[in-house]
Amino acid sequence: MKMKKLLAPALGLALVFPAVGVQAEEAPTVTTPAADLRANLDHLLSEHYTLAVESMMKTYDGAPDAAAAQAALEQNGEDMTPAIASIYGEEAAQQFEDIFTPHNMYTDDLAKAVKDGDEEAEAKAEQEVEDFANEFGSFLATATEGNLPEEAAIEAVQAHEDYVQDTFDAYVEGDYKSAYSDYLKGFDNIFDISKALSGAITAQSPDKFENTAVDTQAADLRSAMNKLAAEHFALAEMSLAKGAMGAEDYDFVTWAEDQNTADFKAAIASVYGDEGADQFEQIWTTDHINAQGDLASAVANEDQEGIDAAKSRLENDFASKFGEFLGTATEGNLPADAAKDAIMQHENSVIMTFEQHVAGDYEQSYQTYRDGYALMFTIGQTLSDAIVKQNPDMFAGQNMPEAMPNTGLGDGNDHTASIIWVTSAGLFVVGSGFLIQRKANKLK
Amino acid sequence: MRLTILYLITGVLVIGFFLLEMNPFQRQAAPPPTTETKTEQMSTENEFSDQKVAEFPLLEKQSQKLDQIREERKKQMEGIVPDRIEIPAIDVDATVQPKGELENGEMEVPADDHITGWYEPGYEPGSAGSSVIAGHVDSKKGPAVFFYLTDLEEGDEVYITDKDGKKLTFVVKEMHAYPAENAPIRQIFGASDKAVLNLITCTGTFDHERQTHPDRLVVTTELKQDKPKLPQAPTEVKKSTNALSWHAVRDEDIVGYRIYKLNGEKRELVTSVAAFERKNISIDNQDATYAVTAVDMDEQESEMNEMK
Repeated sequence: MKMKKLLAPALGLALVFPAVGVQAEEAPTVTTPAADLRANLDHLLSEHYTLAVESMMKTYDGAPDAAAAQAALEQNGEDMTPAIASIYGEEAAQQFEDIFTPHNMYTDDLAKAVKDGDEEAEAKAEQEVEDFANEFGSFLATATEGNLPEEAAIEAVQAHEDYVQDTFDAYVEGDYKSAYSDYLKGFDNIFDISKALSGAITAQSPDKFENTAVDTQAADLRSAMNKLAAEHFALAEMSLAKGAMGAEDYDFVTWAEDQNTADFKAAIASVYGDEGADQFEQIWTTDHINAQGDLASAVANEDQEGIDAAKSRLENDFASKFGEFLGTATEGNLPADAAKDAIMQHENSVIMTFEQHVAGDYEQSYQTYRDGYALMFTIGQTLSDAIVKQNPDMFAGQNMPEAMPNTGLGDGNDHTASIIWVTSAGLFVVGSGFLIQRKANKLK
Repeated sequence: MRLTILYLITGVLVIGFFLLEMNPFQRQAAPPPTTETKTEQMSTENEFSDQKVAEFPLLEKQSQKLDQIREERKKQMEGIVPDRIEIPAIDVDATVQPKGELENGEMEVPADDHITGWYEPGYEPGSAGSSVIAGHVDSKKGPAVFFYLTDLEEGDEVYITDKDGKKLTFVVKEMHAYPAENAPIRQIFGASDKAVLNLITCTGTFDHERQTHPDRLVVTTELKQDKPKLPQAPTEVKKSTNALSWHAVRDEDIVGYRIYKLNGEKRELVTSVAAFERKNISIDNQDATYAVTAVDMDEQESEMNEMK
């Protein structure tokens, strides 16, 4: 029922752009102004999410880097203001800042209140978060002139805040299984929000975005790659830090990483078939996810030889093998050398963030984290671009699913069930479904 | 095992003639049990200073956690001040009185031959160390409280209760008769890793000249403890393209996992993964069957769980 409200802007788009066929005549691309907007929102909003969760956990733990995490969260908020200004002008950007900035304090207040067992402060912070959802939802509805309806907007923001809080609450209770399931769901949810929001913005000002759409198959692919890559980065840093300190929830973070691997594998399978997906998984885990695990253990164990060996596997072996894999899979649309360089850069940022963290240089570590996180969106763009160029027929038009989406993805209490259209990875799979047979043996 | 003992003769019995041996024992006077516990705790810590259990390295905080668990276990092994002794196998149900030593160094035994004496300066029953309860075998009037002690058999149970009703069960492990002058005092009264309770009475043909039995019967019993449970086997053992993963066993006393490659009845250890490491390893043989076990701080290994 409520889903209709978020669908509205998307359907509106279809009306604004009746000339789908016109677009299809040009080669599909992942880099349209609308897709760029969506990707920017993917980036800023999901970074906000990961930092918000981290910051709350760290504040609750009384971790030495809690302040640095909170500072990084605030920097992310500051980066959003110019993005808003570029669309809605300075005044609206100021308004945005006035609403958005304090809410990053509320979550911190909440974590502190829970840590101190101060129920009054906890209730106050929770109320502030709820007020924020209402206020920010209204802001978005107003800014988009109803292209994102107020109720749907409030609900989307509230759903996001619920994920952050649920993750945090479960973490505090030591129910790590729930904590990291919620964390993953909340991460997914962010990409639905950025899609809906970017859709509303482009529907509102089509000319500004050269009449391009946020929900072309190519844009969906880019967003799906963004999500998988960014989630990988966030989980990698979390698991390295938790593994090195022998944290109680380490096994659950690695479980979340395995879910990310499985999602990535499914995405690869939808383009390159099962055999390609198996190859992907083998390369992805051996000198990458497992090497990362070895790096964390070696640091925990103060085993310098182990540290060096694991780093070398990540920066050299994995970068070469995965670069080669991507080069071959995309038939050179992403040249192996370029892929290798990008992966090496990624591994450098992962390791550097971690090492700075271990060395206690927390501010620098979060700076590196933010750069490394941003890099994932460049990688998402580059990779999706190569795949689309390799398979132009596949990504020729806008998505039009054959059946209504299955929106019952969570349990009955899962607030986002009402606003999820299709998960981004799911869209990718649906969109690329008919490729499977053609590409199945490509990697032989 | 059943001890064959010489026939018993009447006579008042004092658990004596430990005189000579008592002196060395006194010199290394048994410290109060609590102190003893601490001493042993330290030596345990030293054993783990290399931070390993079996082949599994431990993180410092993990190692501290295990020490804490050990400490708690020790506490659970805290002894009690015995008030009553029951030995159903030989129909004994008697009071226990704390006793010290006589001037000549002998352990004192109650004058009343129907009650028993616990050597109070030594260990409490139930704590790590050898506690002692002694009783008369007979008197001029006839059989005394421990007259039938010699009939005990390995596996028989002895119940010790304190004033608050806390009850410990001891199980007979072995029985020895020693000449009173040559009994291994240190072994009978001294330190032990286990919670031992020695029951002592007299045995041997009554020596009228010396007014005592020549030998001492020592029934060694040990605290009956629940068998330590085997750790649970890891679940969700799964193989993907080239990796094997499983879920951690969420018990604080788990130190690691062993991964086996199965080959019919045989199993070959592939690798060991410490508890703090990632529960996911690369495997070289995609067609093989693997299984995982969990290992706890007592180096007990769980059942194997095969991959699905």
